[in-house]
Amino acid sequence: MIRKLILLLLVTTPLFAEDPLYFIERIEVRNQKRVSPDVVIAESRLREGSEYSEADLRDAATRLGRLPFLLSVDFSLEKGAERGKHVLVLTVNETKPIFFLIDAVPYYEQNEPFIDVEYNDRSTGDDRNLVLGARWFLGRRGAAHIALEGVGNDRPVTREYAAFSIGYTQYDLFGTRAFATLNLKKPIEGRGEGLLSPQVVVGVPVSANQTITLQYDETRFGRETRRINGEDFDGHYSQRLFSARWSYNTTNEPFFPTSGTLVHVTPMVGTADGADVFYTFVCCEPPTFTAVAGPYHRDIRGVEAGATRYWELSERGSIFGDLRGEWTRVEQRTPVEGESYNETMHDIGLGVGYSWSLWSREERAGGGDSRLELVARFSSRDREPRDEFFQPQHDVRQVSAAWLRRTSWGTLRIGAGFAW
Amino acid sequence: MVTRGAVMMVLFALAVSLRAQQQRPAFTVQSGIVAATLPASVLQDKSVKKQLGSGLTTTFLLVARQRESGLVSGARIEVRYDLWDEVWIVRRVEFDGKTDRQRIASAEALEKWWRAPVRLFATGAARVALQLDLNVLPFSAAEEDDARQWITKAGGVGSGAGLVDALIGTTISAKPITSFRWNVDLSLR
Repeated sequence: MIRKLILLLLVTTPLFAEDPLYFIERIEVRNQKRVSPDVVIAESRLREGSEYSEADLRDAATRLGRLPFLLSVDFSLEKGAERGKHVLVLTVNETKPIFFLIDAVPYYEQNEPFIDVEYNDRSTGDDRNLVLGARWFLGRRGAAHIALEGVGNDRPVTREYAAFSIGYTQYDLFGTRAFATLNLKKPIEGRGEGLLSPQVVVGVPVSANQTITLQYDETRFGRETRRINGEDFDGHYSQRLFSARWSYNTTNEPFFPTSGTLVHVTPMVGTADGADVFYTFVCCEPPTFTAVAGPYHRDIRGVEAGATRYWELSERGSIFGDLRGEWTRVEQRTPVEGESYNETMHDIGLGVGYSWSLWSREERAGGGDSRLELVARFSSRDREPRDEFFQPQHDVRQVSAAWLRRTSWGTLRIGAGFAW
Repeated sequence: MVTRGAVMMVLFALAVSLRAQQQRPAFTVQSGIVAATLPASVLQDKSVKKQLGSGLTTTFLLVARQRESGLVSGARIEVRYDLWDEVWIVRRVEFDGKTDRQRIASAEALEKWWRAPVRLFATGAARVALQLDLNVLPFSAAEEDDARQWITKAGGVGSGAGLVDALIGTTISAKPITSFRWNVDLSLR
């Protein structure tokens, strides 16, 4: 196999050092209806008055292809005002201003028969798996959005919730090609009515394929009352996470890539505060517990990392392989004397998948896709100190099948899986 | 240059082409080297034509798989229209690295150059069942140093640079505009 590939290398290795350079005197965005041309140009990371190789333009095309509000972008050159100068024309195909995202693959667990409707490997850095929203471009470099979103979060220390959100994104901050998003969320489900909670995301592209994304995400849930043994206990919960994500991304699509590489490392720190009910062991035979309500505080540190590689095998077929890991350290103080503890959790996973497009390349040329996907995953989860009763070390194997669809209106992944 | 020696022109279209409406390539064999003459209809394909008119490079990557032996070989053609000089700048790299570079003044001359045989592989076999894939890529496939170096350093795929390069050449490159596949049985006697 390697011999074959090396043989192929002989005819695919560059033999020409002189990759043409193009002086771009102007960049024009065409066919746009709602998207701001300045935002498209900023996200391309290209600048008027500079010289670019085809590799630079290809990276820009790939980068624009990953924007959620563009279905496709075509690059072409036209003559500029003087000999040797060019106009770069970006012909875009936009998505609709109203959009949806549904990413739901319910798993049936063999050992604990229940349906887990959560699946999100966070490879894109986005925890959301249900979104219905609308986006408007404001001014030259701004965009506002409103959304109803479901955050499906399988981190061991944060919670799932649904929220209304309203936000604003400023692109090309101070002419640096960085962007910042301020999002205000109001949780409506998960822990009861919540309070207005801020989320700030700042993305700084450090090269055509590398981005550092800083995020502060606070979620304040509403108060809830739990009745235990005829006694009411008040509980409330809030969580805040600060993360710094480095990513290297050469994939060709924001949601369902078919080629390219995505590598990310995300260190994070956070806290979680609340009041809850804690149980202390009283007697062993029969085992009895007593409930104590009170505040608690958790300090959270962690790192998430992952690497995914996609290969196009044929006009319609694509495979991927990924490796990901999570390490989380929690230090918790509770109102129960002697119940404060430190806990470390590990999760390492491997996955492979195959997808096959129901559409021909010609049908996909204008953007959008319809694919069938088969995925197999293995993950090993453990924690220290071991809790053999409630949270023993366990390996999980998952297989799933799903239908993927991307249109100008939104993105859909629905399917079903089995875990054991 | 198919002039002397045991030159045999043969084509058996036994397998069904994925694009029946497309013309098929013709094959020549000289001194055990198999070459393909690509149909001009490829250049007339709507998506190919659009890319050729973009002023950017269009890369045609030919991959020849001998179905019985599994041997893989190939060639690459790059075509770019220089907007200011109003010429076609073309490059053809054959299986053994032989390179042909030209500046072509007209579309007619481009089509003529296109129809010159592209040498794909050498063989001593009497018959070859061949699958020929032609992937049309936007942009030049020649320079992807950043990705190549990064993946090599990261050990992302394999350990040999050859494997890395081969994968980059066929996968990291921009999404193909279109592709063609032909299956043929060649009799080389």
